[in-house]
Amino acid sequence: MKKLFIILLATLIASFGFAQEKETFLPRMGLGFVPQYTISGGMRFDIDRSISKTSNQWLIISPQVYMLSGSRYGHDFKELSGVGLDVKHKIYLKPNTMKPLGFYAEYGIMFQYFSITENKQYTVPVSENGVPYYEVVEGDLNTKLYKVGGNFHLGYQWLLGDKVYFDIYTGAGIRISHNNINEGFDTWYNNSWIDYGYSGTLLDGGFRIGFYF
Amino acid sequence: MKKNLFSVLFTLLCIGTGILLSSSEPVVYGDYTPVYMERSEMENAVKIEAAQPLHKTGKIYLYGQYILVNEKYKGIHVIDNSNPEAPINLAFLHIDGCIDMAMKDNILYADNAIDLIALKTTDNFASIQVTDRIVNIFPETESPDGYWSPYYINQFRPDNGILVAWKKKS
Repeated sequence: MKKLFIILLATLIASFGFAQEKETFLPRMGLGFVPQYTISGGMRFDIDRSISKTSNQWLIISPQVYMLSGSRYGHDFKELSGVGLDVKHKIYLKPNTMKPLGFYAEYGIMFQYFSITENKQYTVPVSENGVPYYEVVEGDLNTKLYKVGGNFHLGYQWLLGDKVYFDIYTGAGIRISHNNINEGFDTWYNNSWIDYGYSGTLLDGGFRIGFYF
Repeated sequence: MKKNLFSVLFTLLCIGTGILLSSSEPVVYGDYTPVYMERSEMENAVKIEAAQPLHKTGKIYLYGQYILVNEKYKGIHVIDNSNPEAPINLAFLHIDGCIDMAMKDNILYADNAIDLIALKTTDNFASIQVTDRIVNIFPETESPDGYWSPYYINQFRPDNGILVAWKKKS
């Protein structure tokens, strides 16, 4: 593992340090889709943009939208909607080429916002003949959930021709989430690392498909 | 080397994306919901009130000329039965969480939710006075249809809240 890390690091340094004759790659933009986000009721599109003419580095901007109702990750949503944005710096490790293929490393930051409405039972104060009680009632409750974090990935990307790519990646990340209200909710949406309100470290991974133009 | 790296990536990928975890979140069904009170409010709410119509009655207790009828979780109706041909609904003893009572020598013993209280009464139930209270002697009552476990009861419990009643959903 240590050997692997040294090789990756050396390759990374080499990709920055030495400008030499490189295999060219004309497209400067890519558009991709990350299918596994549909599991969470979302769609993520990746916009890849080459940011260097001398080294194989790309900026990946990944807007997301979420729309879901029903059960997911142990919650029963009346309605979940949300948006997200990942921004990553991606560095291909294969030397002497500007083609976005082979092993790569990427790191970046992410932000997600969710508006969650659930039909819940919750406790409210009531008064009966001047005597105060607390009763459990049923109704719609809404909470706003904000999540920020960062990722570091290692991955491998294949190119079909010079247009279509298939990319797998895995790595680690950190998430910090916050609900603006939790009264009446019996969850922080933090049941597991794939949950909408997860806070903590996680193993991240997935695949994406797309094309360059 | 490349093969090993692929194996590592593939394994991590499986870990990273293949698992959909689910966990249970409290979902409470049933026809009843709990009613809570703060302890101080519950203790202060024990009082004699004007006669009230009988709704959801429970135990019936005969004491001299009086018939005591429990109004579930609310208190006790006092009925003057000195003329059995025309009983008089005399008063209502407001005791939250009350489902049982007994009486001897003008002392009424009743459950005030999880407490046992002793009430000294005048001969005609014109006044009452709590003379003794043994706190936390009874367990909280279970939901009539058995759907609420102690975990869920605590989930909805306000600070210092004591379960005093079960209310049927409308």
